[in-house]
Amino acid sequence: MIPAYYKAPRTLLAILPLCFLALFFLVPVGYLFILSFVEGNAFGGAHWTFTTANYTGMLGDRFYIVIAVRTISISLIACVLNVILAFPVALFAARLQSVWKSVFLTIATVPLMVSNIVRAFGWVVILGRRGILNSVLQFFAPQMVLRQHLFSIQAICFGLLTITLPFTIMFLTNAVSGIDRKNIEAAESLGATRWGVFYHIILPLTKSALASGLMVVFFLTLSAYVTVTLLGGPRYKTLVGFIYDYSATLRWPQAAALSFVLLGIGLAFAGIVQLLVSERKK
Amino acid sequence: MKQQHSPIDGSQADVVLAGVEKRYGNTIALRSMDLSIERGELFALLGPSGCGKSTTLRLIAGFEQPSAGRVFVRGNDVTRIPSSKRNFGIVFQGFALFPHMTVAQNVGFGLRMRKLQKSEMKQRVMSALELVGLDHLADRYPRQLSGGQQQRAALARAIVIEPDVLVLDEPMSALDKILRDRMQVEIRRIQQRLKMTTILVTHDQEEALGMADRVGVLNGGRIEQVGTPRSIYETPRTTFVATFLGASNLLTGKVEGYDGAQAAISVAGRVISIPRGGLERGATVPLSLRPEKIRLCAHSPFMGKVKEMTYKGSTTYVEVDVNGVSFAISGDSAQIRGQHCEVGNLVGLEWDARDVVVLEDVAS
Ligand SMILES: Nc1ncnc2c1ncn2[C@@H]1O[C@H](COP(=O)(O)OP(=O)(O)OP(=O)(O)O)[C@@H](O)[C@H]1O
Ligand SMILES: [Mg+2]
Repeated sequence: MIPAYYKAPRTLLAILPLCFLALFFLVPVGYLFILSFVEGNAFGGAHWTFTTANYTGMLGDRFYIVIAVRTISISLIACVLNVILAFPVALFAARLQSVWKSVFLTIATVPLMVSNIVRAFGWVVILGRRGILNSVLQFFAPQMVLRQHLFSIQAICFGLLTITLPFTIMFLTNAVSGIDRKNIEAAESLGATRWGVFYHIILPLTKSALASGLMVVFFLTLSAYVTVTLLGGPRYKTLVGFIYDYSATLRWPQAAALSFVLLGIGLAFAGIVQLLVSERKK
Repeated sequence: MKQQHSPIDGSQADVVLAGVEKRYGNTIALRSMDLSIERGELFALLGPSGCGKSTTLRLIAGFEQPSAGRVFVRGNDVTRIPSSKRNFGIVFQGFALFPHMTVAQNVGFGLRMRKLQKSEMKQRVMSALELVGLDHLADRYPRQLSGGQQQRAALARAIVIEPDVLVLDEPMSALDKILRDRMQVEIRRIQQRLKMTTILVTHDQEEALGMADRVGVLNGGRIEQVGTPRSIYETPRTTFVATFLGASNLLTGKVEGYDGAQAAISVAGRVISIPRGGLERGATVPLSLRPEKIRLCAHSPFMGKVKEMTYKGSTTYVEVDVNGVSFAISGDSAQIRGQHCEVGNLVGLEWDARDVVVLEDVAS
């Protein structure tokens, strides 16, 4: 039993951070939510009259739908690439001895220690018109030299991978390390091929880590601004770009509404992922 | 009776190790091991921690490759064949049931990998579960099972694929004493019913002696002795085997000479004769004499003072000092009481000449 005098401060300790969250997260979000349902005026203020026009305006506009589909596609592509690239790395890293595994995971997270902007500029240096890629192509395959490798969906995906891969690698390496080696040997001895072991044992036993990883990837890419702007160019925008534009032009209600659309997309994805993960549990 | 055959010949034996060696960097886990396991027998690999039992098993099962030597199964060289193609049923230490699958799915996994028809699969899974008495728990997950039930599930998973060889790695170590005794009987019953060649790895000598047709005693990566439980227990070849398989009086004797086929050996200042040839006159030899083979009597050349007595229910343990050599005796409590055996009393010791075993190594 936990003594009563010990319980009281514990409750208190739990309440304090909750208050902090409530104050600095829920209150502004609540305010934004209300704001998204009022009419804006031209001076960055609002007429406080209720309207759903901020939402319906977007949903009725093909342009926004295209942007939303593009945004979601980029995030989904990032998710798929992450799984394809991170799993082999995790399977390799999980078999390292514990010291080397720590070293490896530290190295894998180094990209996260560099600012988003610096990292994106790194890609600019490589993919730009006079970038390293073109210089190399010039030499080996001149027909593949492009005026610009930047400002494309490929460039955006490359950029987003450098932010997200460390997370998926970390999640998956830890999950794969947690699998009892004997489970894998048991499957092998029962006749499972390498692919069979992966599909029937490793994948199901890492699926909750995979789900966490995918959600992190999806949320990070959904709200990525710097990477998309620098690598996608001024005209290749995602939803976040428009939120930025709206708030820069003081159209707060539209910005708020768009934020909630983005939040809705994120929650929907999280819901689907969780549904898939818990599907086979009883 | 069991017939002798050379270990390299894979014709009669199911599993043959020929000169198998395993090194990990500088450590030698197994030294040139020759072993042959016959079809249908239960062979126990017995030895202390770190002697190389698991290593041997992993080599046989194909999880690891030997540094030298070959492994044969039913006459075929399988040294380079991966475990997924060997058709071995393995019960792992700790069972290694798949946590995300039900008991039925666990048991059916090997059949699924063999792409069996659903209906046949279901039927074979059920009959395997019935065999181990687990058919009523088919839909449970491993974490919802007791230790004994998990072990049955692991056993069913291993035998349902009708393996050429069943391999059990310390299958009882996670179970308590009562359950262990019951599972020993049960595994033995199932093994005999299916007539399945079985290799049991254990560090528990009672388990090995009680379950196996033959036992191989492993020490420091080397097989010290192979034989039936009785021959290993009663005529150990080395000091290690003598002591690892139960308590033993390790005595030092000196070969005095021969009287026909009987060697005269002096022990604790007395001369005994042992039916055994080939010993060098004047040599010092290590001897083993099991405590339960010694009887107390009133008169004997071996008279000594009782130093210690420990009552253990049906048996009593007595320590007697004869000319400065200590003898441990364990015997029937009633019989020992009948001999006026009390601490400080003088008692005589006797035994049958053939119960004294001359060991081959030098006692260390
Ligand atoms: N992967 C490995 N790397 C280095 N040494 C190893 C490895 N596996 C086993 N060994 C060594 O080989 C020897 C035999 O090990 P093994 O696991 O076969 O022992 P064991 O008889 O199964 O012992 P236990 O009863 O404790 O399981 C030990 O000295 C061990 O340290
Ligand atoms: Mg072991």
